[in-house]
Amino acid sequence: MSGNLSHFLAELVSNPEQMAAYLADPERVFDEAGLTTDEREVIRSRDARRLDEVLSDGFRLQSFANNDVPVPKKAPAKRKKPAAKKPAKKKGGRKKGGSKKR
Amino acid sequence: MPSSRRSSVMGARRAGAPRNGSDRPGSLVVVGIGLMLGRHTTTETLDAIRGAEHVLHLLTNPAAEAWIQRLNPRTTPLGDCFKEGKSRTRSYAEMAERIVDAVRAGEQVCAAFYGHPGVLVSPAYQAIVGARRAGCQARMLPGISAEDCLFADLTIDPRGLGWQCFEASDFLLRRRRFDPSVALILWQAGVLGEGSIRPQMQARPERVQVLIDRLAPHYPARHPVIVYEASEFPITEPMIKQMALRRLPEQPLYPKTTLYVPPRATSAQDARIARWFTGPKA
Repeated sequence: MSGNLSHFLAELVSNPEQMAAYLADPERVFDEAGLTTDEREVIRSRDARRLDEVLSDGFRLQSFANNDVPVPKKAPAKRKKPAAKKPAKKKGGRKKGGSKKR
Repeated sequence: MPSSRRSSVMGARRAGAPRNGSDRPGSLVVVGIGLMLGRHTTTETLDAIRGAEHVLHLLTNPAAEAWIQRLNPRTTPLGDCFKEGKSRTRSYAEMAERIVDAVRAGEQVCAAFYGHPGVLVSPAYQAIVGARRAGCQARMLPGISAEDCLFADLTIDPRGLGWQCFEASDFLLRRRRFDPSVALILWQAGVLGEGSIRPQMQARPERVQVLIDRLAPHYPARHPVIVYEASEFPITEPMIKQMALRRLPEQPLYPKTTLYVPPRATSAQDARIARWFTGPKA
């Protein structure tokens, strides 16, 4: 749908005679351009948001924002400390302070 | 000249030699077509587009593409560098790469963007840096930016109190300091914190709420905000919606949306400076 409308708009802004004709009698210019009912309706509305939606119908994904959005930097992955080896518990372990020296 | 510096410059000259068999090295001119199609483009920019051997462009809609094709049929769109889920940073780097490749091939290239090519257009800067590194001439022409349109459409003269502007995501991420007694402009509010793109993109309300939470403590309870989008065609109106700042999450914010927060009233003056300005009484 947007192809014909795109060319209509490009012609309108490029050709002062076409713009003058549109301002004088928009319906006649719509007829000549072969615009659909929906396309005519959206132009009559003068609503930029609606026109944008109709024009972008089938148009490639577009960001419309030309600049990077800053994204948080990932914190460097923390190195896992090797788990300290726990001395194997012996059954019936020693009591505190009861170090046995040989 | 130190030998390392000399060899780097000479290397750049060699790199700038055209690959298309022509004696003329490639060159780059980066332009912005303004916001309103066919009305905001300067004659300098029109000449650059018409005179280029190759026009690479990133424009906002297919009507703009049809328009530029009329000016110069040797055009290549860059919009296909975007892909859903792909990092925008990567997309912009690819665009710049394509532009620089054409320049290195010896073409007289024009890279066209919407608005002002030097305002929030990272691929434009990257391409200029890349072309210059390749030993080719590269320059940027000014264009009408969204900010220019905002001042005109909202009839604001920032001359008196000044103004401050931030990229919206950067504003939040880096906790930018701002002065609420000065007008505040926030760009790209519709892509708040978005590293990629998706169809029918709008700002996520929960993120807009975080933005409001950051702003609201600095303003009176019913302080207004203006949601603004410049008109892209002479037959449409700009979008200007005023609402209470706290109600902003109810409003859809699109990638082209700009937020304008008017200044909070203030009468604070530095009495010592004021006395100094007025001078000793006669």
